[in-house]
Amino acid sequence: MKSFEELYKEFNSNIEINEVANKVQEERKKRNKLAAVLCISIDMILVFFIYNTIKFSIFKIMFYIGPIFITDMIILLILFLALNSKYKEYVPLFKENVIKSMLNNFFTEIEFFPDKMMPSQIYKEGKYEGYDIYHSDDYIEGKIENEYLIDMAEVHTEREETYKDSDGNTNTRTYTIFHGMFAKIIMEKSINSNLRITLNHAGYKDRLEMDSSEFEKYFDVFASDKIIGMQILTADVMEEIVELKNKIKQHFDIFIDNNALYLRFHCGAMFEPKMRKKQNLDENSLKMYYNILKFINELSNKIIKTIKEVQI
Amino acid sequence: MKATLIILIALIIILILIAFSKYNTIIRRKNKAKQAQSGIDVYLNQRFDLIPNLVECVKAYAKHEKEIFESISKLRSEYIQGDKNIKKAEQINNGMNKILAVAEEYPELKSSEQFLNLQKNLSKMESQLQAARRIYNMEVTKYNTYISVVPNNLIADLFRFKEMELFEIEEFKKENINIDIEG
Repeated sequence: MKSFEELYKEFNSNIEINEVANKVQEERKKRNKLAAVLCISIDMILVFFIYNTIKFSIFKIMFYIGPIFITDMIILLILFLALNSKYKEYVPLFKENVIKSMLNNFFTEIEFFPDKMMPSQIYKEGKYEGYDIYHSDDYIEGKIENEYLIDMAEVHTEREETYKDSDGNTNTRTYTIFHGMFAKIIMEKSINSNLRITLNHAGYKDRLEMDSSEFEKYFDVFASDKIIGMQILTADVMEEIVELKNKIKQHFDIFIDNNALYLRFHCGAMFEPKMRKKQNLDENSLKMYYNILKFINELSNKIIKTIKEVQI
Repeated sequence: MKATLIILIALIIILILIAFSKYNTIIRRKNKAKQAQSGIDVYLNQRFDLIPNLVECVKAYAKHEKEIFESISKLRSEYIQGDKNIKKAEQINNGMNKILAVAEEYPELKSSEQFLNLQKNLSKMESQLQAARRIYNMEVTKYNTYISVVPNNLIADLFRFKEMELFEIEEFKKENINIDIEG
């Protein structure tokens, strides 16, 4: 297994990616310049027009700033949509070369489908919060340690809410329930019950209080069988989960249902290429993807090993 | 004067209600600890039910360890007949650990199918017992802490609530057992 630094060095020395990335950077510079020139020119024309048609008044000038601002936004939006072709060419290249290499670093027999959705039935098996809208992409199939099947994807679930505004009109708004990485791993052994480790104050049944104050600070445990819950969550397993939480600094939850392990990371969009002015591959975002994949690998192995050793 | 009396009565009523509430909480915590204790009893009974098989298995190879076998059988009978306390359970468990240590000295015994099955069952029960023990100790600690802090300790003393014992049974570790095999 390669370290992040080793992988990052490899990615940066990939000629094909760098060529396209450079073109994306050039396209962006061109777009920004064009946007600046257009906005300033149109703003000057508008200000000149407004100044000549109305008598000078601070109040009236302020009143017209709104339309000037909206005009600028429209120009920026049009330019962003029009001058984006190189980025669209870059995304699949990035996923195929960078993300797939990262996946191969931790898992085996990887099949990566950037545009494919994970079937919602798989996500529903995790018995999470209800939702109205389900999106998914970056679907991954593979194996951990050449043995345990893993399905992963970026998942975004939303709820729709209707409300009446002050005029009595019915409107709909959506809000995010979950957005991040979701993984399902099939284990060799079943615990013949279920166990959930989640963020504090989650509203599930059968809460199991743990004998580690550090662990209780971050997580709530819900177990249909308290004894099995305690057998799996030994002192060193709890310590390791807390350590991983401190390292990764992302919210996550774990659900074990018989022989299936479900992991969720509340990390937002995954595997999208980000660039900085002097960096074709944004190191921080890649490091986050790397840490999450590493964590999925380590945590799954830890839990599978613990369950194997526990006499159930 | 009348107002003072009313205030006094109200205060007394409030204090009584607080006392009732504390009392009820003590009872609830004690019951939770007892429930956890019954969980331990189940696993202890299952574990101790293996003693006759364990003794028979090891006896065939270590006839001279008669004392250990008799002692543990006697302790087990006393435990089953009602003398179920933590100290007794610990003594029985120590006895079982001694027998397992004896078995470790006989390679033929260690590889016998009967003994291997026994070990597997014991190991499973050990794991379940440890889990039950953690739950029990957690509930007992919460109960003991609750009846020790002020002002709950006043209610506890008034109604004679006593602290409960923690369960400290040791799992089998060969290095902890000293057996004189030649004796």
